[in-house]
Amino acid sequence: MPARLSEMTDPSKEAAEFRPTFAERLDRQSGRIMVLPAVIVLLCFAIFPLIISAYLSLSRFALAQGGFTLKFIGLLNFKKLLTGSQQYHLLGTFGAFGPLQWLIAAIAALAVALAFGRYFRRGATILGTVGRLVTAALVLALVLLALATSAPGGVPGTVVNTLLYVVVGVAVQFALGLGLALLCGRPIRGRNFFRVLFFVPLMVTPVGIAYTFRMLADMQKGPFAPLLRSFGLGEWSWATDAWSARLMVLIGDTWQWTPFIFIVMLAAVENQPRDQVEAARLDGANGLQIFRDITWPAIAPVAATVVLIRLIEAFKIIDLPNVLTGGGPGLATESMTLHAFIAWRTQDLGGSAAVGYMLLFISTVICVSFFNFVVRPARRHET
Amino acid sequence: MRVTLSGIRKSFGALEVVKGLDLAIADGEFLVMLGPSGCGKTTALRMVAGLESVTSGSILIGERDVTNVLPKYRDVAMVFQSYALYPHMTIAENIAYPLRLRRTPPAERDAAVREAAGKVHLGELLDRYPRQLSGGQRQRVALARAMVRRPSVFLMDEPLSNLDAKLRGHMRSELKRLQADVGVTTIYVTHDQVEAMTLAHRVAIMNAGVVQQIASPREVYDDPANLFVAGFIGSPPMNFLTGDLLGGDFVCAAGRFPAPVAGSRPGVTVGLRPEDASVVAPEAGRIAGRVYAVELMGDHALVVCRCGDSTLTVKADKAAGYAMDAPIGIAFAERAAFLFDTATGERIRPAA
Amino acid sequence: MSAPPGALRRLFEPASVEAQSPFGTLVTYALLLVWSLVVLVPLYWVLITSFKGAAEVANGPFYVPFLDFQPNLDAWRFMLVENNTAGPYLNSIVVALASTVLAVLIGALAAYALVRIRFRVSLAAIGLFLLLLVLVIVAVVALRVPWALAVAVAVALFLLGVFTLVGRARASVGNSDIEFWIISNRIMPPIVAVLPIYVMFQALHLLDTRAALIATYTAVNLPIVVWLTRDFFAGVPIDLEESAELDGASKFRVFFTIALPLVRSGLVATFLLVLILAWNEYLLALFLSNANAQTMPVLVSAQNTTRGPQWWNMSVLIVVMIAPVVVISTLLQKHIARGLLVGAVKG
Repeated sequence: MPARLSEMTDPSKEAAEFRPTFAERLDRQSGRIMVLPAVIVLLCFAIFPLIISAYLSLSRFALAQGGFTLKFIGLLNFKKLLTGSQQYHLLGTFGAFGPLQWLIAAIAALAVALAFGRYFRRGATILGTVGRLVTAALVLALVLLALATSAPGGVPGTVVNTLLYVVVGVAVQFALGLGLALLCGRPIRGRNFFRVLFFVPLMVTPVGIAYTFRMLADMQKGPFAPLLRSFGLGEWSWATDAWSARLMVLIGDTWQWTPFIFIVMLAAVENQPRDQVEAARLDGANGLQIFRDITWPAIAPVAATVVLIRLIEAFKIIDLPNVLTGGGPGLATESMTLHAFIAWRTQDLGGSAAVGYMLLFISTVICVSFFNFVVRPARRHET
Repeated sequence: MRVTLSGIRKSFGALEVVKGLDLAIADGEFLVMLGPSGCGKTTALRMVAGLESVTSGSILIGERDVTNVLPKYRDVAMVFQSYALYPHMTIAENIAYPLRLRRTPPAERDAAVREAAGKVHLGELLDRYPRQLSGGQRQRVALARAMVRRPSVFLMDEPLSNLDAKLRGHMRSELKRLQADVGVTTIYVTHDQVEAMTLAHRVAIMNAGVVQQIASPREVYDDPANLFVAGFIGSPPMNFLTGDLLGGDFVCAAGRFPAPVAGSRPGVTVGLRPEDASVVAPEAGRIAGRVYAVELMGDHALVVCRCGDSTLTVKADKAAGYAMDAPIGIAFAERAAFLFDTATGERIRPAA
Repeated sequence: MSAPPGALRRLFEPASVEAQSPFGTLVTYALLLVWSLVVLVPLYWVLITSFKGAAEVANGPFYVPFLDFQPNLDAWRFMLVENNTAGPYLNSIVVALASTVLAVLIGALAAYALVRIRFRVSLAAIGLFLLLLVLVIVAVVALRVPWALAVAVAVALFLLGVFTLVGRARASVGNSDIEFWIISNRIMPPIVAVLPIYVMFQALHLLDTRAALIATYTAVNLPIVVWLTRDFFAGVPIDLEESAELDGASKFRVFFTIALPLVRSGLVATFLLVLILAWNEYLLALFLSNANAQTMPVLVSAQNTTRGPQWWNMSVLIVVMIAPVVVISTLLQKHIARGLLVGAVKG
């Protein structure tokens, strides 16, 4: 039953029938064509460098006439860093274990043992066991390292410094960010003003932050100098003391990154189920109970994720220690990335790559473990 | 353009959702695929469109095998349940989009857009955006966009189900008129039997990935091929009584009455349409029972009866007044009873 | 406790269901103001220091311009007119903009394809590829095989392998694996990759050029773009894209005329976030640029060693470096935060 409309000839229809199949073939490959640039870029700038880096970490690099030479030396670079002449740099100097150190080590070992016990009771898989063993071994080793180097007589190396920035930094930033988000989530005027203002530090160039904090912390000419003088601290310099220098780096890092936690947690707090809060209030819960029973379970999945993202970035820290303190005094504030950079500057490409690889190992194991053992359980109630 | 589907199968992993579909659709025909949700009708339609790959079998549009042809080269137009209007384009741009892709000259394109818009009475709305339109108007835009490039085949996936009841009835008749005017082969998927009965030249009733019956609306109603079709078509649905055939009589818990089929066989189901039966005095009917409830529908009433262990619905006059639990009889003509094999669901027809 | 009990209660109890108690409000504002000061004081101090001179800093600290010191523009004049600040500034702008455009384009294309098109890549082929890549690198670097020969042999072996061995192995990776792989690149500390990238650009004689920085920044920010935009694309009703395909659009056409316009606001969010990350980047620029392609963060960090702490000049640099990001993040906070939230909230 052809009618008027279909009787009119349509040139494009015929074209479609006689079109060479090349266009169609190209069409079929469009998915691959779309992904290809990304894959090539990542191959060139991630996979390929990763392999070269692995090779570099196993070689000795030396400048030679008209170029350089690479000599394969096996695990010597790692050996030097872990047990040899560079051990003080990467791992630090070990102090003597006192009762406190033994106690903390025992608690850590016990916690790991308990976690394993619980895991085996629920039924274990080979892959899961191996993964947990790797995590447990690394975590215990890092705890012992931190204890040994912070004990009397010990000096932390770059691994412990990095861990300090990651663990303490992220913990403080999370606490502050969550606190500010809860305050800002209250029914008050001017929320939007605070939201915008608190967001700003996140976007400020880290190098700029580093110098700004150096200026602020200037003991003679900084804005807080009169205040410090009145406390009798006029002659004291934070930059010469290891712990105050680390504290400065942490303060700068916290100033920059608290907004990230804040802005994400604020969204989570604002998204918490209102009717549940209202129901709890009708049931007679007070503010603290509402937070514990309603708000926290609602925002925990987001909290876990945001901490993971922060962890991933925290391991890469370099700008602040390099500019703020130059890694000093001594190596008190040197992070692993800075360590690798300094090794590179002294033409020790092998050592630099080895440090980089160890950072990659530590950060990957910790981040993946955090994802598996914290983020996943926290998100298990989500659809 | 003719559309021929032969031996179409589709599996998602281990799950087979279309199990050997054979359909020959004539040029200009309006074919409705009807079935409950999950019966594979939408998947079948999407395979014709090329949006879903075919696991095995072949699809021909006209003489051309399009089984492995990308959607854009199939020359089919589809109207989606959500209308799929591009929210960032005006109505005119929406309708013109298929022509723009074909590099139709602007003047010709404008004329075609105006003609298509005129056909669905959208002339004044061409400069608006989809969000400024009502549901019925969006539906028309989707139709105009499908028509504007004069495709070989129209595919429609529940196009009316997002409209309210009143508008749906109106759009139904417009759609029927439009398809008759344009004369393009149309495959229309719906779960609504009223749409199927009113729109289709032929209805293909599907269940669990298999076509149960392909026939004209009248035929599927008057002569259902099996238990599923009989139960699916008709509102309120057909009543069923399970029992046995004994020497030309149907025997069940509710009673015994002569059947239109001779002989004896165990495991027989009798189907009886509510509109083919009537409520009579207890002794005058073929089956006896008691009134369970009476539902007034406006122009008629439905009497729900308990007969043995089954419940039967019978259409009655709107003035019918029956007390609950009042004893009644149900009368019907002998040929009004459809017989089916209980185990296979196949129709048992009287010997010719 | 001179206040009557009624007034005391009023202080600690909310006036209505929507409000909190006056005391609670007071504490909330006090805490928020404290943090506001924490945020503002460093920014304020940099700003006023940039209007000081050597004398004002040396005799300081001074806090309020015009009140306890006379602001002057000497430092600004010195840094912007006499010093070559414009070069690095231009570098920063060009590198940040170009790398962001590239990263968003490449990343969005990949994210779209991964959301909408099913991929199956044989695991054996990937394994073979990586194995051959390692072998080529070892052969070229350690055994001094000419690289053209090594690559040619590897390509031949790869094709041979794909046509014989790979067909038999069933294991393959799908979209989510590819996606995970792309995104997981963000976990890798850049220090691991930057040494070979440095060597690579040295070999290509591209060290200290904008092109090298643009390419590297594009790669570094690509995972973030894929991660964020995949959710925006997944939110586009698939009907729209299928309809466009039936209307005769190719996948590329669907991407550019339907999908992209529909995720515009999400793209803006991604663009801004990546732009700021590229603007702030320090480590890679430190390795890959020194004079010609130097970006602002490197210039600023280099001040220390070349001049000693001339805070007034340094402040000028910091102000011009952070002013754009502070302005952008203040004005477009909603958009940038949206990008962050999509990334963080879904996981």
